[in-house]
Amino acid sequence: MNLHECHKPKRDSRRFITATLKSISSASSLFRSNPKAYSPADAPVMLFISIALIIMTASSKNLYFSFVMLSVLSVRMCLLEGKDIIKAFLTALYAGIFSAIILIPSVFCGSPHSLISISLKTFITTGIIQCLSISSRWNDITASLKMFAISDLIIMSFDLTLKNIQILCSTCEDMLNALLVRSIGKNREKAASLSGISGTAFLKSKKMSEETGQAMECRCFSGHYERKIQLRHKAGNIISIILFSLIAAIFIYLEFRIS
Amino acid sequence: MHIPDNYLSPSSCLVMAAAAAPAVIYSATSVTKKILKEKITLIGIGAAFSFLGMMLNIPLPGGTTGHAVGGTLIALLAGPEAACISLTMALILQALLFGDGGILSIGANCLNMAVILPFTGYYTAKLISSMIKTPHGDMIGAAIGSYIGINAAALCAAIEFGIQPYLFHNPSGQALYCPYGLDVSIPMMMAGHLTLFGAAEAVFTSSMLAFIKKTSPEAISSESPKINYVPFAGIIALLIAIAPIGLLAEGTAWGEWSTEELAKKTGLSYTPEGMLNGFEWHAMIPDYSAGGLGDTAGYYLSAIIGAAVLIGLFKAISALIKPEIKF
Repeated sequence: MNLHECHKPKRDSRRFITATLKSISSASSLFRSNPKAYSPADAPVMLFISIALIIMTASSKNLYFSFVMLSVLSVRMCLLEGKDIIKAFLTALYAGIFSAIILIPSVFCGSPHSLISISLKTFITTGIIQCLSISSRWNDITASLKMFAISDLIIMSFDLTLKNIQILCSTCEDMLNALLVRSIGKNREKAASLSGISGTAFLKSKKMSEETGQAMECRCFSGHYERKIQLRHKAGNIISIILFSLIAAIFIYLEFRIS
Repeated sequence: MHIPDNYLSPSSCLVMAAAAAPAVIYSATSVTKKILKEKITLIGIGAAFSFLGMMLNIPLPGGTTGHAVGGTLIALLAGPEAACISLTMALILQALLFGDGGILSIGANCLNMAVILPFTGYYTAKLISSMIKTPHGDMIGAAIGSYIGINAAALCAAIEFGIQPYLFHNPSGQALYCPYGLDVSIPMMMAGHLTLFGAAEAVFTSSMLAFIKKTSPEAISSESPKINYVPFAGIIALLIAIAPIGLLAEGTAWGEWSTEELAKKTGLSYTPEGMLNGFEWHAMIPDYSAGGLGDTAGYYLSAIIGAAVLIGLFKAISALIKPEIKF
């Protein structure tokens, strides 16, 4: 064999591309609709209850209500699948720890109570959102926004953003895979390629927005969403509303009787 | 039977933890290898049963209380190794979150309730049910096994309490930790467990086992991957609903008094030094009580949080275990 034909590429760790691919895939999976998503009640009911519980938790001045919400959250989490429990719990825990770190100065300012109560509230509210996002499809959540008299423009922006994030993530994944295949031997320029990928993704998003506009014109879609979701009289809805009423009653009792 | 902090010397706690650790590690490895992935959730449900069973305090004349543990029940449902892990988790949660049982004495409590109780109860139950060849042989075995299991655990706890004054005392002869010797601790602990608490454990185990056998027989079989969890959910809901019954029992179990209670209830002329300057853990919901919410609401909250956390924890563990592929 000729010396020029004998090519033995040097080994490369490929850590940069793998790590970038992994982070893009995990970001993309957050927005991918879960086909196994199972919610005990319809999406509008779950969305309303989740928002109301977050508002109540945030506005409560009583630590005991946080304990009540902690018990509600622990029951909701234990009804999820094992993998989802880990995902929801860890996300809520990270949020709680992050807020605790931010609030460390409050301990030195003589208010250690704030650190416990706000970190606990952060954990609970993040946990509620995680449970909602795991157990509901994003499409259903977007559709249920219509029931709360939210402007069509906001719903459309929200809907398009979610869908475009998925498409752009998949484009970036394809380009990174191409870079992985083309990088033979030691390639020190991989990080430099990232700006090219970002630029291409930006151009793609611009093209996609123009195409969406043209498609809307062709289909005479003015951005008006029709209300299609109808609340059914199913047991899950009724039980969820009864339980929510109970929590709301506890909130009112604790806020106006004890504190 | 939950030994609080400072009743045992730190060195005793260390020895007990060292004694319990091999059994717990063996059980953990054995459970991940032997048990079906789908059955891990059943261990969590067993832990929730045990946690809720331990909240139902039974009063005894003289102001002391006790409770069932349910270790033999879990052992008969999922094996003694699974019961060991299940009870260890329940005891750690009780100590950390509710201040029931000490932090330093977790090792001793695990040795008594998570190792000695389920293994003794399980093998006794198996031995007796193999000897009694009637249709109710397994139920009789379960009742006797659970009775012997809880008494064996109580005896160990009594010995752990009782040896403290002989081993750890100051030059004037005053005990540094638990002030009662074996002559007091064994009769006091065993009186309740040989009578009411042992009977409660036997009734709890046999009645639960009979119900599960009737409604979800596949849970007892070691090879059935699909289990009907609805009856279990019903039992847990029922146990949570009746949890505040534990509040009816006034007083504290023998050997679980606080430092103030010890002097008041036992008429001891001194407070042991180790207890006076000992380790103190501030639990998030101490004694299952959420202050301003009232005792009953606190009990309900604790029961819900405890049961949900234990079930969720074992569900999460089952997700982490990779299924074994046999080629």
